Amino acid sequence: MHKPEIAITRERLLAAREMVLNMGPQHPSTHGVLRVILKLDGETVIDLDCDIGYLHRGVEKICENRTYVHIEPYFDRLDYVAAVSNDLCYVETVEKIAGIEVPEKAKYIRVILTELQRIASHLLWLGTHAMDIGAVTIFLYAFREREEILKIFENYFGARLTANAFRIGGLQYDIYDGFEEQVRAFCRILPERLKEYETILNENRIWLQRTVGIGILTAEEAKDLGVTGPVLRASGVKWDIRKAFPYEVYDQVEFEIPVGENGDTYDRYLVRMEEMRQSRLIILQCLDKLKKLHPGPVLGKVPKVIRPPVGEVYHSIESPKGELGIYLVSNGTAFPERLRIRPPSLINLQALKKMAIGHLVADVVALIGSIDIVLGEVDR
Amino acid sequence: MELFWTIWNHPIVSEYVVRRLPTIVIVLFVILTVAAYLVYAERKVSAFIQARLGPMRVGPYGLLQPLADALKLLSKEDIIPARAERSIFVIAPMISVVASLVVLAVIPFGPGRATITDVNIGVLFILAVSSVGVLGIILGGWASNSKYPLLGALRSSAQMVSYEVAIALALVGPLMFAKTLSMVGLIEAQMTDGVWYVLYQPVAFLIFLVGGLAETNRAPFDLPEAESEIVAGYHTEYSGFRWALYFVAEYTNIVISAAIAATVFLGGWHFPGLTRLAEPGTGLYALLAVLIFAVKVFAIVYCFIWFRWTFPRYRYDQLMSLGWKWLIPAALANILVTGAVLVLAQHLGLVETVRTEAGERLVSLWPWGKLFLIAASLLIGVPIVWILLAVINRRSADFNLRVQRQIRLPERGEEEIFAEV
Amino acid sequence: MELKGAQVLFYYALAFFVLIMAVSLIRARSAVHAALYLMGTLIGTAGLFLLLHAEFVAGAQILIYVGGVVVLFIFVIMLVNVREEITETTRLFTRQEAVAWVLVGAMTVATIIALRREANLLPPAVAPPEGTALALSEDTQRVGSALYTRAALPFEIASLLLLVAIVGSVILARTRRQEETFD
Repeated sequence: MHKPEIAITRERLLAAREMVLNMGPQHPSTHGVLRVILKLDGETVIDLDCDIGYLHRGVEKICENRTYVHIEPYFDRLDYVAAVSNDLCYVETVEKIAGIEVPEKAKYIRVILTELQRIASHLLWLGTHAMDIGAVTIFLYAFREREEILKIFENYFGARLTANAFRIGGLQYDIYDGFEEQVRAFCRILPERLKEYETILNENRIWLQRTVGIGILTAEEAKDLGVTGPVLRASGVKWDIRKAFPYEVYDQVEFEIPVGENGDTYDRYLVRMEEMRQSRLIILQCLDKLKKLHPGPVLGKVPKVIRPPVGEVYHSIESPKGELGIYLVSNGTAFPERLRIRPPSLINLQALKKMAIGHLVADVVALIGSIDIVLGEVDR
Repeated sequence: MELFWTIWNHPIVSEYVVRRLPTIVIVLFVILTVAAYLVYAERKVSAFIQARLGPMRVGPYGLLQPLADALKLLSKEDIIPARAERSIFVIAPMISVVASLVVLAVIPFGPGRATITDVNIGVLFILAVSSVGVLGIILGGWASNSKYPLLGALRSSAQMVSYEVAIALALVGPLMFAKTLSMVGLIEAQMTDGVWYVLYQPVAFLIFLVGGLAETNRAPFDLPEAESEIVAGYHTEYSGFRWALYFVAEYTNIVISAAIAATVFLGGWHFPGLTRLAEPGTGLYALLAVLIFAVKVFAIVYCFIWFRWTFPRYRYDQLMSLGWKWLIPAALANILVTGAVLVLAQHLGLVETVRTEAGERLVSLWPWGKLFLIAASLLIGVPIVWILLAVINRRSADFNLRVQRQIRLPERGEEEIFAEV
Repeated sequence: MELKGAQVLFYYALAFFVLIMAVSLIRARSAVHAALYLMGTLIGTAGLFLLLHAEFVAGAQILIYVGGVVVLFIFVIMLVNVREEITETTRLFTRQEAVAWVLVGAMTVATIIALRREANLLPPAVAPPEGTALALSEDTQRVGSALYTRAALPFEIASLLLLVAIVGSVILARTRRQEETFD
């Protein structure tokens, strides 16, 4: 069991000013059950450790006793804020190891839904991050936009949060009538809403004072820690799995990868805002291409019982939080031998210590929000 | 019984107690209701800003919500922490509330009987009694017998004390024109001059507004009592009606800050052209005056609510440096510049000291005097304060945030990529 | 000075209030209680200033003494956490009691005799007559103009002293890390 440790420095014996503060598992700003133990000198953080595991549900072990089809709903609950991308990673992994072909149309629909999910995840991040720093209204506005996406999801998947219609080999449902109109309507309102948020926040001196220069993570540190996703890109490293190892149809759509310069909280904010815009462009391109493929099959040829050949595969996608990877070992039966999930939030969380030391207690809250973690993924 | 009537008819008692009693009762009743409905207004305004509806269930449009809240709070169990000092725990909210309500005695709601009383040192009295209210917060944090509410209380009170200095200095500017500390005298001075002091002292007005926000622990300066911060606020251990007392004190303070701003800078209950609508001394005049004052106060209170739900929150050290390194030097510079401008104006013969029945007032002559003073405040005062603040803070981190961070994105128009939106 | 009518009542009420608060202040067992009694004493003194027609001083007394100094006292008490004193029972009355009573009695008698001597009576506190060059309408203006004309030198010395105290306390309270950063 992980025993949290914080460095004991020589100063501790001499200076009685150091204080250990527990940002407990129940805290409005830790985005879940995360316990952060801070060692403070006055108000400055001199050491930090995270105690995780409060949401551990033993998903990886459970998966060893479920068939490949039954495993899939568990992935919705990992990063419960962005369920669709988790599902995408899993079905792609199984398709990779079992060699199952997915029809073109299904790929486009998958990409549309995944990018919508990315926008929804970033909107939730924006709302909670702004609320932690004090701009409560942004939370309500972001959820108003997220509501539109969730309506589309409800119409397609039947569920809003734990949306599940991806199947190994394609999709369960074809798009419904009105799908394209609804998605296009959303894409039409998104830019002006993003502009609204930027008007409130981008030039606001209070926002700038709370985020510029806070939690700087250099590119070297980011790469050493294995940080991925918007956090890595904000530190200046141009790395996106969608461009580096394209999956689905990402090599057939054009989009840019926003890269920051300084690796502080403000850059992470700007990177995610720009990513929302790029996702919108991807969605529109896919909708155009989808028009030509419609109607068509959405489910490929899948055996009744999926028994992948013996072997192992690692497949990763760019989820809204970072690189979500699955390492799947198959022993030839209908149950996987080992399913290991590479949770981007857990690995990004390591950067918290590096970023927070030297800052004040009030900044820790901003930093946790800026990394954008979801405890379901961290603890699995 | 005889004794009662002797006391009642005694000149001092009859002048200062009996005659004022109706006003006192009305003011207390109205202000307490206003404080309660201010909570409702805040919830409604914040809801509309956030694309929601706010309280809608209790009464039409949720108008009876404060009544429901008050009943709920009154019926709650009175919990006193076991190891807290009982006497101080009980006294602390009382000090806060009493300090807030005593200030109402000198606020001029209207002419004649609409004001409870007028003291020579009105502004000083208000500042003094408000500073006693800070004690209520500290004692509340102390009485909780726990480290974190105590630290929150100390930070909160340090913030209030710092911004009190800024507010007091900001108020000195208009006082130079009015030559009196009395609130009624300030309104009278603005009446005699014919110009609201906000035009002569825009810098002081802004400083007073920002300082008023910090003084009442409102966003963006509400770090000590924000829910998302680790250090809990001073009212953590309070529940039920004692907590309600703290909140009444806080909202009454908001109304008082707005009332002071309205009186000192915006001309109080006076509006040019009021004498044309009604005869001074009649009930109609007083009623209109009270309405005008209410409109001004609510406009400022609306701004307070608006700011709370728009801006993020300052970190505590940024907050304190804003108070000490930005507002206080700006207020001091404002005093110096105002003094210099007034001396210059006296040399040029553009202002004169007028003797009204209540005292001396500084009046600028029309039209050049007024234009000179307004232009001087904008063209001389604002740049000097700006330059001073830039020089003082040129090496501080919060000043150099103008550096824009741009994301590296190769130029490409959106229109080329897709067919239609 | 001669007090007329109801002012006598106010004077006696305030005087007794101040004395009771002062005695409670000395006898308080908890430092926080003592600070609160100090606040009461100071507010009573402010009331006495009002009786002397010195409104500005009364207001400044509350603003600065109660709103500043007492708040500062309470800060220090709370940060240093003097709470432990309460749990011990301190003996307030020791064997020096008799000597103390004798001394107090002697001083009281001496003061009363001295005050009743004509030569020591203070002149009545009354506002300067209207029409003189320094006739200003309010106490605030009198205090203000006095501070900048007749009492300018003590005023400046006092402000210099306070400046030295502020700067000195900031320097004394610096941590080692802050010294290294700023030196």
